[in-house]
Amino acid sequence: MSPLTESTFLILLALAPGALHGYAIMKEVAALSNGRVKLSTGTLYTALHRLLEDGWIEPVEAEDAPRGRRAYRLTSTGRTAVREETERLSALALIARRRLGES
Amino acid sequence: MSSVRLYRRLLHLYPRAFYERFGAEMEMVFTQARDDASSQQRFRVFLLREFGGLMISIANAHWQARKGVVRRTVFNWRLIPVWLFVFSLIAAAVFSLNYWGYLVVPPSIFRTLQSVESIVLVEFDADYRPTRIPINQLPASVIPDFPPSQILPLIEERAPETDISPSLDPALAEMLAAALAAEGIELAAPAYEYPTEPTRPDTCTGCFILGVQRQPDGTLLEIFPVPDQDGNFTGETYTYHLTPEDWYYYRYFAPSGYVVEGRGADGSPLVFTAIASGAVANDHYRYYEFVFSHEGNRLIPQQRQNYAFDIAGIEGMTFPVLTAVCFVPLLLLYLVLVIVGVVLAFIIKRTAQWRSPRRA
Repeated sequence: MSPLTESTFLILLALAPGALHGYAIMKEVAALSNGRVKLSTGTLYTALHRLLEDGWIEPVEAEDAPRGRRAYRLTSTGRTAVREETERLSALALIARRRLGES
Repeated sequence: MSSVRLYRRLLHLYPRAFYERFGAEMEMVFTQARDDASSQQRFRVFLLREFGGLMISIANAHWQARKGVVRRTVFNWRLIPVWLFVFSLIAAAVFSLNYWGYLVVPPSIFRTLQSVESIVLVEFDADYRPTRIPINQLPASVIPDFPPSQILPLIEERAPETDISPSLDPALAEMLAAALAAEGIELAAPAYEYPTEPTRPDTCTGCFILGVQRQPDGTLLEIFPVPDQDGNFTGETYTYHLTPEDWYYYRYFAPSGYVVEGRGADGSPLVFTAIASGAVANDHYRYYEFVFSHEGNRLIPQQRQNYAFDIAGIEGMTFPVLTAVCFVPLLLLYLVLVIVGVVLAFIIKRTAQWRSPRRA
């Protein structure tokens, strides 16, 4: 698996605890990155489209939700991808710390 | 127009499937984000980020929507002959335009003249000065693929009653020489000049050729001395008919062509001249056409074009022929590779079946 882009990784992380709708994902991504990553609506939905195509997320249709108020949640494939990416980043961070003599 | 309304309209730029899937949702998210941004007084930054991101996202969505189609189309082996043909067309067009200067039919600007008043056959000296020549000295009169011949039918069409003039106005000749000199075209004197009345072999010492005579059919009759075993002339001669297909045929001729006086569509006097140059560059003989208008005692260029003719070894290899020449070998190579691929696939399949445990 090739490394994920930061915004994709943050979107998947935002969805890790549970299903969120579009605007909540944007806010969660901004919160996770301490306000550094602010997705535009277009960027968010381009990423969501790709993640849906890859089967990493799936829509959750609530019966009483208004039109356009669709939530998304991680699939097991998506969760595995987040886990693998987290491990890759952890390994990378470990190497970096060793190099810097911090551990 | 409000930002939401503008955003809603721009959403229609997405591919239809993308819009139908996400359009309403995106509009709702944008509206929520806008309300949030306006309450925090970051509205301009928000709009910049949203509309910039939208444009990039639309472009991305279109690329993603077509990527699969492009890949399936380009890499479909059944479509390879089509791509080979397209490649052949482009390659032939580029080569033809670069080498000859035209695709199929040599172009002419003669039709700029709406009426013809005089036609003079001329040859040009090194100072671009035209001199009238009789028709039997112009290769165009008898040789179909000599460029000035291509416009003979056009001249006849425009001027069916106009006879070829017996003289060229000296003032016009001077004006034309000055105008052509200003154009900087390259003319060359004949490369070979030999007597039209052959030298007698017995008076010729070290002669390679005794003479050249122009024939009524346009060929040139070269007369050579016959040497004996010691290299001395025997007094006998042999001849060779030189045709336009021989690469050095035109080098016996001075640059020649037409000077045609006539009138343009608005009735103004124009001078058309066509020149088949004897100059060779990169295996090209150049052919030039000009249309001049009168301004006092000067000729002012109105139109100009040139192309190449009689290129050594590839005469007639213009766009349609080159396309075939390029495409047919590529197609044959493709067919051979397909056949080899099919045979190999068959062999591999049979080998796999033969080695399978079930068989064993």
